[in-house]
Amino acid sequence: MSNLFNLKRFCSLVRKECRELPGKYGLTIISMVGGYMIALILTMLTGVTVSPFKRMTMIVVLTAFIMIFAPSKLHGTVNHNRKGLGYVLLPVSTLEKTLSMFVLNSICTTVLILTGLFAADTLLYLVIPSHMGGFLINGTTSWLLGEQLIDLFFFQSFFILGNVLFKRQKVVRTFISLIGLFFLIFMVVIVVFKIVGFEAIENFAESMLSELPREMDNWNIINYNSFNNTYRHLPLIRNMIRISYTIYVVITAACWMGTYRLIKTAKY
Amino acid sequence: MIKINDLNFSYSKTNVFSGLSLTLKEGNVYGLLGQNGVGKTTLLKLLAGLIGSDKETCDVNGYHPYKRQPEFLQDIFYLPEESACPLGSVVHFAENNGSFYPAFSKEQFLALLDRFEISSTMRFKNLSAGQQKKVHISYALSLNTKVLLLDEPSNGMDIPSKSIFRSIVAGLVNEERLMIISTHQVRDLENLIDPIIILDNRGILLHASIEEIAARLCFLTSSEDLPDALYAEETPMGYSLVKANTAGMDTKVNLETLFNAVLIHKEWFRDHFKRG
Repeated sequence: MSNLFNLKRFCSLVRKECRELPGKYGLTIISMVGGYMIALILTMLTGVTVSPFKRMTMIVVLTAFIMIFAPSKLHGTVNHNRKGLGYVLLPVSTLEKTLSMFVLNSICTTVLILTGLFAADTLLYLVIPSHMGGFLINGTTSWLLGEQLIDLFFFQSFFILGNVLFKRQKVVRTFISLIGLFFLIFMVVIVVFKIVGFEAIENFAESMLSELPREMDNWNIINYNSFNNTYRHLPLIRNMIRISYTIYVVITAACWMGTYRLIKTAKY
Repeated sequence: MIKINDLNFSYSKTNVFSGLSLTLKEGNVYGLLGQNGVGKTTLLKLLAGLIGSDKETCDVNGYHPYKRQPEFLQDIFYLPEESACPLGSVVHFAENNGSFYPAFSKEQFLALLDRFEISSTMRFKNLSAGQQKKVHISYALSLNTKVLLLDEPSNGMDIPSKSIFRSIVAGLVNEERLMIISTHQVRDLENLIDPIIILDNRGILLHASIEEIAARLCFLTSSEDLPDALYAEETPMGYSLVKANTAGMDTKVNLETLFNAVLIHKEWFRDHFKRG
């Protein structure tokens, strides 16, 4: 049997962790779904119609919450001096443990929360369709969800790394680290802008904005569509998006490699 | 088989081992004794791969422990003094985790629980600390790993459970299995641990089988302190003494007095129990 990766062993680990998932995180997921239903019902009781776009935005926010907290809930003890021993001593390779962490945190948890929220939304739509403003899933909302999920996978990888890096207050410390990191990047951007000249940047931004449709300052479905159709087709923006996704992939891979390394070399 | 060769280990500025060498063979239940802070738990953790060691200095079943390869991990188990309290029921915990160990026997696990009078359907969080300890011990023993490292296994156990534990371990010793039990409760494990390893800050003070110890020392009870005794301890029944066995007497080894004698006469024991 390979000491690096064995499919049978990996599947056993995923099965074991899936069996443990309801006990560790099930209640939080159910609470989120319940909270979403209550929020929708309360909003509808005030006579407001909740559009599919707004509902999908709520779903994305709740999914983000679940994905951010998943690593500390599901694998929060992996680097704990006492509680982490069971995990580290399990006869499974580090690669299998890292991949299983990805399957559990990024796939299983996301699928569970999305299924729950979609089911809750569909149920409410079937019961009170008049206040729901249409079925949740359509072209725009699917695009929004898909795009946000990519961002969330990227964002979650920081929290998975933070989970094995920090011993206590993992989510808070990761957040603070991220704020620090973004502040650093912001400072670098400011320095670059200073070198290039603020006037040149301002002129460039104005020329870009003049190419956008006028109605894009409101955040609704029509403008989201026009955002996708117009804004993204500007060559510069398209290239910037491509570059940003490449950076996403590189940073996500780096976070996962860091997680692998930390699991492999952790001392107890 | 465990081979430790010239092992150096320290926690930042605190040196724990320098030049430690030790060979441990299958078919034995080693008793690891020593004062607080001499490195008993550290040694067990090094052997389990929980802390780092140099590749050349530590070999367990032909593997370098710190690499934590699955083939190595499935033949070793380390039970710490205090284990975590898992979620769910006892039987689910064993099924979920035991399946990764090729020699795990669920039937054996249930039988051991039965001997400790613990229901397998109980949830971990509803068990007392002592009961949790018994579950973890039952689990550790039913994994049937070639190397089993137990850190203070009898701590927190009631008196009947300690004798059940002794009888279970004695029944599970075989030629392919190596157990190391680190303990301060030597009386709990007397008649079970053999050979004895006593550590101090400078390394190994004593590494000898009970037979070797009995051949070189005699353990007596006397109404008065004898001048040639290596160690004398006042008890309600007189003095408990440890003497060099110059007369070839056959006495029962008293681990507690032996331990105290070793701590007082370190050099004497090093000289008289030198291993080749």
